[in-house]
Amino acid sequence: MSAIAADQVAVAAAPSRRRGRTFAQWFATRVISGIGVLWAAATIAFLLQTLTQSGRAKHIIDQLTGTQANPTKAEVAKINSQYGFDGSIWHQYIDYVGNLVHGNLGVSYYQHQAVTRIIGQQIGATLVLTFTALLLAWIFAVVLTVLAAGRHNIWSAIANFLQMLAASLPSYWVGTILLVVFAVQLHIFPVLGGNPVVALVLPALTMALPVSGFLGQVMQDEFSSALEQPFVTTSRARGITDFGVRVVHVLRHATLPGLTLSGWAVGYLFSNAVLVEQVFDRPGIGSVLTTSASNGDVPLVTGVVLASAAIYVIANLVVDVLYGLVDPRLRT
Amino acid sequence: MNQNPRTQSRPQKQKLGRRRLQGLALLTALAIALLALAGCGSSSNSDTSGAGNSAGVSNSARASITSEALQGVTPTTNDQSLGVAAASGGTPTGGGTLTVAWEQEPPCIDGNTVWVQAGYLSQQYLEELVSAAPNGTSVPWLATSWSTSNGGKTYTFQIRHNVKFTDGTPLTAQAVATNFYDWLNPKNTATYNSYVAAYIGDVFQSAKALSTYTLQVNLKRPYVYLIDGLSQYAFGIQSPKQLAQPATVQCGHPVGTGAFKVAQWNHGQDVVLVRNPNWNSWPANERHKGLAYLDKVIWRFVPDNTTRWSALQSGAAQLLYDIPAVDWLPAKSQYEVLRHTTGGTPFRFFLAANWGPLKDVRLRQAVIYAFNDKAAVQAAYQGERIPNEDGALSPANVTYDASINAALAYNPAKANSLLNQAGWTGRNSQGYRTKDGKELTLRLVYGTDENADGDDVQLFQILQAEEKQVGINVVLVPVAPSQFWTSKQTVGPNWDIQPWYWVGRSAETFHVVWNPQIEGAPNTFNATGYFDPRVTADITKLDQTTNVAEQTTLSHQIQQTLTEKDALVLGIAGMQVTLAVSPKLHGVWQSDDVGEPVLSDAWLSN
Repeated sequence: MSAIAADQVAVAAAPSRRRGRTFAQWFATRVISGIGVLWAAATIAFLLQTLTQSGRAKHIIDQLTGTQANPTKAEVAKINSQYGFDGSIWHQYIDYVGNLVHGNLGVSYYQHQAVTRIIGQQIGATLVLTFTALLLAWIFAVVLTVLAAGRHNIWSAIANFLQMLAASLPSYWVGTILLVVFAVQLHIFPVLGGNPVVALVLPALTMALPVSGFLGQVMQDEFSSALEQPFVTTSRARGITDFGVRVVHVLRHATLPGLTLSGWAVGYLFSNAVLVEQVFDRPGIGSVLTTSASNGDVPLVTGVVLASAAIYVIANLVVDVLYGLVDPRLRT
Repeated sequence: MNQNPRTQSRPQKQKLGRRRLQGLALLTALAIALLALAGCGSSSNSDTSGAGNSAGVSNSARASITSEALQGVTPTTNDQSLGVAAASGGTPTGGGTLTVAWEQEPPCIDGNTVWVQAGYLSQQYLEELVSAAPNGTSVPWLATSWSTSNGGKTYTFQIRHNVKFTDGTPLTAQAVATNFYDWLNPKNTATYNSYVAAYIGDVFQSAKALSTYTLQVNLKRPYVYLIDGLSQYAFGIQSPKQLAQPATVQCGHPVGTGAFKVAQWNHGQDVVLVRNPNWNSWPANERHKGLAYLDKVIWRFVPDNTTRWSALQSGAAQLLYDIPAVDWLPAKSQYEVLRHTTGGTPFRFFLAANWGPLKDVRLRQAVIYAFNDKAAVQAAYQGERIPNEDGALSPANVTYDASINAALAYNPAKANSLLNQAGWTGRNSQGYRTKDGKELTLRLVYGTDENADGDDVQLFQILQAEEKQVGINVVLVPVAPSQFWTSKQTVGPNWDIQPWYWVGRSAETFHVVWNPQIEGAPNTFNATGYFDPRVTADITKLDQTTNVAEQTTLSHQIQQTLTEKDALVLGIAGMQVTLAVSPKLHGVWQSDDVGEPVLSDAWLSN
């Protein structure tokens, strides 16, 4: 799937720059389209909250008073004006977008804190987990690919099987098993707390395993076909060792689909963090999202949606830039 | 139309299975010892850190194992110690860090967040005027004594001298009066306390300081349950200086007079409590009079059941909240287990009396007789919960009417005959009863995670199967948490059966749930919307009598009206707060309020 996606990106990106556009122009286009994605996410989040939560004022009053109350019109009007629900939908939308532009995501209904502050406190932990997992996934995938891809032997078959298995494992299950085996039974890792680096190992591993399976699969395909290329034969003819050929020449080809997949993997990991953070009792954006979604804490849900969208956009932008670095053909 | 989990206890949430890991005692002990050492190492109280003894193996029972209450038995002991008898541990030692594995993180941790999940925590740093004691009694706490006058309309409290809030503000009668006004001021959303409002909102008139330490509370009419109310977690007294702060500040920075104070709140992770070095206001029922033994308490939020259990098993935590049904037996075989059956109501169903088929009282009665509560509770909760068919009151109350269980016992023949009398005599192809061609269908609407969890849903399915036996089609309608408070399905006439509970201390729960009005507005805590004037009259009398015999008569009468005569509620089982205690932890007990752990008496052995 991603080999195809990689080709598409390559085809799409390459010709546009061949028409004489500079890197800066290309980059600016990507940034603008990223902003467009964010704007769309913000708009959808806005519509969802305004169209589905018809009784927002009542909802807030219910949460405040602890009953499904029958608030008076005056009470509803007070909440409506306090939260700005009384204007027309266009008015509310313009206010909302205006606030977003100024970095103001509003205040959580129930935690009484600025949404940016709540997210700011938690997002670091999730990002560390996400990118550690991505790094681990790359290491596993590259090692397995370099050692096993394109060899038609039992080890290659086992590696292939392991990758497929890893790709299909649900992370909640993997996490629980790792926790019980390595933390509860073997006491190698802490169940709660402990050294932050040590405490990162099991959750990052939990998230890395499925992604490494996906990465490994696409890289292996590309790797195997690159091994058939004439330049490999040439290299071998020049006396480079098999391992040297694999690492120096072939791996570069195989990283392209891996990179493409990484853009997707960041989103996948970020959303999986919700479950993994719960199993390993880590702070992070996951618990913020689940509690705010079940409370109907609209500003906070919107904030998390936007933050996730932003990370996804940035990750894909980085992937596109890396593309050019890995494959110089795409730069010219 | 219903109680919000913020204002009521939500002590149970059982979901997943866990492993039982026996034979790991040594490793566990080692891990705990390391943890305790780490805790002591960082403590300032170094003089006691080495003084622990190794008596953790001594099995002389501190808490005797009280017999478990069975259905139909008179009021149960509230504070039960089950499972492995607690090791005495020898002489209490000071110092150390206790890690508590709790379940949910409240949105705010101040005393105005009246959700019980916040209450368990806030009881560690906030104190009430009086302290809940066994058998519905209350003993002095921040008030050293109190008296009533003016026909029960005036309460005069003597406030304890020389007590300071942890911000240095002195505790005075005026400070307490400020708390009353801030709780009951709906305009001040930072301090408005809906739980307090439900208890005393419609009877409270004024609170004033007669002198520095004399507080007078005037009521609009006599109300004997004021003291019961004041003993509850939601009535924690906070520094008036802090109450004047905006909600953004109050939310994470509660200031009380308690045994501990909040040092830090690591959002999404834990609340760190440290010993209040100036604490001098322990309640009369504190088991040792003096500063808390522990240096520090890490109140960790561990929502995942498997992880929470693992935390206890691995020694990372020494106290676990909420033992899932599936782990009830293993927990009892490995740990000291504390169980508190809360007062107020049991977990129960409301039966819609104002609309639909259940408008006919015979149908409501049939639903009750067709349900085999004892068997259903045993199957769904595996012995962890105590069946209670009296849906009006918890067996933990002194005025509980034990005869109701027998009166409402499983009786499918009676259910069938009531249904026949009501004219539901036809049968359709699926075997459900019909009347004028219409199937007898009842919608059981519940909020997943809001008022029912996995074990509860199992119970609903058993109810469904049992009602089918008499020809009633019960349809389960789950509502997602995000939809729950705005869903049309949870309000009449869109439901027929709805699970709810109200955790309290005593028969004041009648006042809260069944009084037609609260502060002049219709009382929505009674989801059925049906108010029997007989009940209203009895509640008015009950609110005012101090005669115990009369209280009992009235309370029994109300219970019988609500269950046998009106059939508005169908009881399921007592609400319980369960704790599993590591062998290294000693002295923990549960408050008679809603079973909060009292940690000021707790200590860790090495």
